[in-house]
Amino acid sequence: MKQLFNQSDAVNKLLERYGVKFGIYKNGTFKEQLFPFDSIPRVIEKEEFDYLERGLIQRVTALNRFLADIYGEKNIVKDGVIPEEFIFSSSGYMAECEGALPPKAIYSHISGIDLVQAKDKTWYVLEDNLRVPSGASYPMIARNLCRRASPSTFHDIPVADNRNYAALLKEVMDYVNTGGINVILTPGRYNAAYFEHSFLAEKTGSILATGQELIVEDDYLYYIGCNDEKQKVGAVYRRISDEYLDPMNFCADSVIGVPHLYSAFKKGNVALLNAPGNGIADDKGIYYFVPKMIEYYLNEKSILNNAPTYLPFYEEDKKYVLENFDNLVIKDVAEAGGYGVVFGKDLEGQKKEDFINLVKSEPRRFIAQEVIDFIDIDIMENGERVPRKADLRAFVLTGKEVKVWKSGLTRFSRNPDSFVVNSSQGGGFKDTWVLLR
Amino acid sequence: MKLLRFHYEMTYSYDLPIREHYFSLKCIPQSDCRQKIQTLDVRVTPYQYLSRERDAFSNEMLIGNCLNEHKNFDVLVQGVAQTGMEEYTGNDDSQNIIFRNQSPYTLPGECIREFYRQNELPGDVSDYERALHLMRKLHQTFRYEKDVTDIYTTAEEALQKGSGVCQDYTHILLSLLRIAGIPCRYVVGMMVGEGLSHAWTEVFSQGRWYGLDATNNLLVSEDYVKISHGRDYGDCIINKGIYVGNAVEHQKISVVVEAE
Repeated sequence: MKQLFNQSDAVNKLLERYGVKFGIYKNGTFKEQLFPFDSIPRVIEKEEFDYLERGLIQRVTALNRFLADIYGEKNIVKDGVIPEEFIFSSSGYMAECEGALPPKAIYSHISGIDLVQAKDKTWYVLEDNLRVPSGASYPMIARNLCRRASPSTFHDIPVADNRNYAALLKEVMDYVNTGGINVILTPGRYNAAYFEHSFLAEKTGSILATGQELIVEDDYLYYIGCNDEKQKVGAVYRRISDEYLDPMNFCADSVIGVPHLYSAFKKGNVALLNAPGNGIADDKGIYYFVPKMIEYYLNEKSILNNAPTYLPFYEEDKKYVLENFDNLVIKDVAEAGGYGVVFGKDLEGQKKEDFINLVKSEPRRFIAQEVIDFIDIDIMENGERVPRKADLRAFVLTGKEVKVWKSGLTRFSRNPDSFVVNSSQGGGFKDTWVLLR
Repeated sequence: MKLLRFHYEMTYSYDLPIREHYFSLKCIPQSDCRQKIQTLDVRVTPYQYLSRERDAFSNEMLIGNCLNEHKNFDVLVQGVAQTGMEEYTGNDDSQNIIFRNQSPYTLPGECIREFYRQNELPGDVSDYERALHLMRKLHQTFRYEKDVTDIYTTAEEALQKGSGVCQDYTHILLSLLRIAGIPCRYVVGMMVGEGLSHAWTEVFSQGRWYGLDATNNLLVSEDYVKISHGRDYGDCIINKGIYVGNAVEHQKISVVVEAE
């Protein structure tokens, strides 16, 4: 295993050579960056992963039930489990999706659930990503290269093979396919995750297409190949967000989408992975209700913990938030990508007073959470092992069954004082090993 | 009851050819318990692909494309409607949950909240009476004036400006009603004597939908033909289209509704 730890540089060189990159926009120009890899894996024991697996399957099952309910009968609202103002005025709710049941009633086929482990070893779900979660390709490739760099390590240690991700994905695409080829729809080579789109297309045997190469005619979707020949498309793993997917049904300014694609979907003539409208289920305000959702739909207690969260919308919670303001992190539910996040302890004087008044006057807008001190994981830096903050994105695939990929993307912060692990913030990644025994 | 003959025509011309034109049209009146469409004739020219579908609120839509170059695009909808049959009854309570919540165009700000506080009808009255009262107050305060607002103006912005057109009257009334938790929806339609399409509000009270035309401070009568409804303007856009071509577009819309 030592042999492997010293291979970071070698593996990073190979990653570079294979073009494993992600793109970022900085000051208006597009740049491709390497996603720095650290060769010390995150290791998850079998019992621990079994626990995560049960919890993740339960969570994603309930989230899919929730989406079908919200765009259909709305029973969870009628029964008073979730207040309606958290749903129908939320930016994540898309009225266009009312009554449009996706093939096999699956909304979130690929779910990326972000978890952290606290110092007492308890796992907490921080965020559900049910729209277009990315990142599975990085550990797949890294594993491949590590196996090459140190074959004996994988001979001696019983690590679950994670190179089956593409097979799992293909299984899901085939299951929901309504008749025709599988396509991965990419915004194009200037997208942050373009590398992943092309990689997954190759590995799943799908066609990688841009919106320009697809057309809706006679209520079906077709791929226009060379020689202008048309092939019917049965499933689209789309890596374009809802707003830009179809200019005729969503944002009219979109030039990367396919006009009338959503109409073909509504008529049951093509599957979209993930289905549009999922934003309502991974909304920050809705996160609070996921354990309640699990009880409501499945009649089970939630296996995984949410980070302790309070909704000032409820009087009791508001009181707690105001009394413990300095220990909490407060998030604006309408904001995303790290914006609108305030640590209570960082505010002082007038600013603090203003913010507290805002929470009082618009309680619906905010959630408050306990700050979780999550564990450090070692990374190699200049030949030394140093501890850094790390999270885990687990991938859950829903087709005929709900399956958890026995790996995941472990992201770490390269800055020793930071909790921010996002790749766009210069973070790196690790392979995630799930032990088989 | 009344028989109304309606004729709705949109004519677009372009100084240079356009191509790869995709369209989605919500311009087809439907039969319900208040109006019965007796004859209907819909023509779209030109097109290469044309299909029908229903949107999230069961409005009938025509979708399609014309990929080849063209310099004109015409949509004609004509027919005869029997109107004024009764108020709309019964409804899907799942949709009413949506309609009693604010939507993108109706999100209230300080201006609308203040107006609501000042004009809220106290006491135990029906939602219909509340709505009627708010409509009258709005009609007294807000002035009809063209070119002050545009299709992107929200209810809050319009009330701040103090004047606008039927779209704005409707949005403001919707916003006020939703503060009171009353299900209500945006309606696009046609009316006798109006040369363009019109917008009004429908309010749900005691199991029925009532039509309120805030622009004219009128109850919707047998002189109105409904085309579509939704949460706000965004759900009821009559012609949504995109195309490729650097052309200047000329648009002509003519609406005629008259008694048979």
